[in-house]
Amino acid sequence: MSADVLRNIKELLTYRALVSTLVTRELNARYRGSVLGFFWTFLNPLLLTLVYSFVFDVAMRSNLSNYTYYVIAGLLPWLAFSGAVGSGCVSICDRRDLLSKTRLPAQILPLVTVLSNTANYLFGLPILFAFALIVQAPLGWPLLSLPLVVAVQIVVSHALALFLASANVFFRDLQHIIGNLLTLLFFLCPVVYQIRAVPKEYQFLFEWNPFAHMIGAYHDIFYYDRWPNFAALGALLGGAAIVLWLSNRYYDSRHEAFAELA
Amino acid sequence: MMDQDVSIEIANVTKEFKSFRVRAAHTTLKSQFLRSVLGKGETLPERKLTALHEVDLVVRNGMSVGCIGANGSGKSTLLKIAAGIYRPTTGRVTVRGKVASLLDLGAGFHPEFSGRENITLNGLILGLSRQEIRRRFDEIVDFSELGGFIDAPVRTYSSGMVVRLGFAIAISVDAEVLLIDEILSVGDEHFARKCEKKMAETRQKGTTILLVTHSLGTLEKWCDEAIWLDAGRVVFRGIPREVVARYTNAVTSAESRSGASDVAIDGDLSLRGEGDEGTAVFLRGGAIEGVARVNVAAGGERRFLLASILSGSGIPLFEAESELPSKREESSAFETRLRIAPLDIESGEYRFQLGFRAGDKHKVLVQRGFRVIEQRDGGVSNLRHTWTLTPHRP
Repeated sequence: MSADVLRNIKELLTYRALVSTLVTRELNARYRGSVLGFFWTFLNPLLLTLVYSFVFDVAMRSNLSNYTYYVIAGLLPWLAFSGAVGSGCVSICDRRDLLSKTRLPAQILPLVTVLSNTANYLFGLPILFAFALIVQAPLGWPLLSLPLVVAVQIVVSHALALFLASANVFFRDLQHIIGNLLTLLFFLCPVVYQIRAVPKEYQFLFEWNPFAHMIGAYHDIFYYDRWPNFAALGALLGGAAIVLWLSNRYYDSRHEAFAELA
Repeated sequence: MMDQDVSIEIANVTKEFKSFRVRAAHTTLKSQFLRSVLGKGETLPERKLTALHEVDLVVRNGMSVGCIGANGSGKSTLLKIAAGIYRPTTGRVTVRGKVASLLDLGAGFHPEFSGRENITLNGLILGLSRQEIRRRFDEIVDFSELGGFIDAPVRTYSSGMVVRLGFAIAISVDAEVLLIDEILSVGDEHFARKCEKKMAETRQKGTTILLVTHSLGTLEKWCDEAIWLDAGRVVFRGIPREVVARYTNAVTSAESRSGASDVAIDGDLSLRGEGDEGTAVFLRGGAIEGVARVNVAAGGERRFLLASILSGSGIPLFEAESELPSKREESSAFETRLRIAPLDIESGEYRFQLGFRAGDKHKVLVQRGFRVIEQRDGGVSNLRHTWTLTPHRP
């Protein structure tokens, strides 16, 4: 870790009260004014799961047992990840009002998106456990590794969001590119199917897809009731640390121009 | 190192902005890639816009310095540089003490949230801690006079209410250095006066102030020193009265450069109130007198002197004209003295303007800003009244 990264992290820590307020605000704002309010946190992924269940389980007859439960176990973390990266990418550009009028450090904005999406994931867990009860999924000791998996996902998301948010100030096309890449990536991750169902010659796609390992870890914990692949998680964390370091360097070299350009 | 008693030091600061055209501002990855990596494609000529040219400014502890200039002269850029929002291209900026920048009241307010929630959020953005916000909370609510509205979402607030809340939060920061962009006229008359009182207290406490304004009255009233920026350069600095006089003269002479010049003001237009000389603040219902020396060149045309009172935004509220006795053969000089009493206009910012007309040619000669304040004990209306107290004998 270089001094720059440490300095940025220190800055984030000094602003932690603001970060937590902004996270709460974002979570509250998401559904404020709607009649069902907070229930949308549950309803949104639930409805999406029903759509995928209908398409892949009913119409296309996936022969995975408890398909709906499998989908929701992977869909919830995926939504948190794609939300963090997708909205993280526009987080700095969207708050130009703040950046051009106050001395707010821009780096807290992507972090706020990452943390609020993570919090949203945690709030969605009750549905997952409700489904687990319904399908009587065996949930055991591997649950203890959930905090670690979530932590790895936070680091991965933050590393990407910080870079994308900084770069998007200079190349606005990025946000559209990222939107499409995330859709592609969704289908390249085993959310609506099992890797096992994929022909052998394409399995390498998942071996080398770090995000497939990330989503896979949630399936391990919730669906297969086994410990996740710690070697893969370690590699993921190592990779994320490198990306985080690069993102910080990029952010440091560019952030002074944000107030003028964002 | 700068002196202990200096709060803001801006040393030889130049700020350049890349001048973007709209399409170029949103560079695509592809075009950027082709240009920078492969060296292909059309390289856009990089045009630079220099917002500040080697500006020096020192503000000592407890002083308040005002900055005037036309739109685009670099005033706001200077303020943002001092606030640390922009980084100077070259030069050095040092600001000592806790800074609060009041650049935009209510920046970061979330419309869906209540005033209460927004106080916390805005306070944190301004650099207060949670405890500090909690401690000041009641004071902020009291000052903003929002009462029960404090729990309503900000989107239901009138714009005046938003600004009142924004000012209340910003001023509660208790900063040692205040950077202010055009906010001294906040809300209605009552609240504006309350703000002024608060600002006066803040000044008394020894807060250093750097403010940017278009209101010449504000400048004369609030500042110990003024600078006039034009096209990113400091044109003149000095005591506010002097800077304002030069500035208005420059503006009026620029406005009238195209017109004829056979009537001219010698010296300055001075505004006088009840007895005192050279003030810029007048009581509503009192008197105002504009005095100037006028030189009239020889000529046979009929010429008229025009005096007008303009609103702060330049709308003529009152105009009067008087024919100048001119001689065909030689030039002549007059002292003109226009007295308006009672000065029965709403409190606010105004300009006193002198000009002349010959045929259908008009020319503005000089302008001076002034401010009208109201003096009454209470209520919303100023009813003309006489009050007698007679000893009562039973």
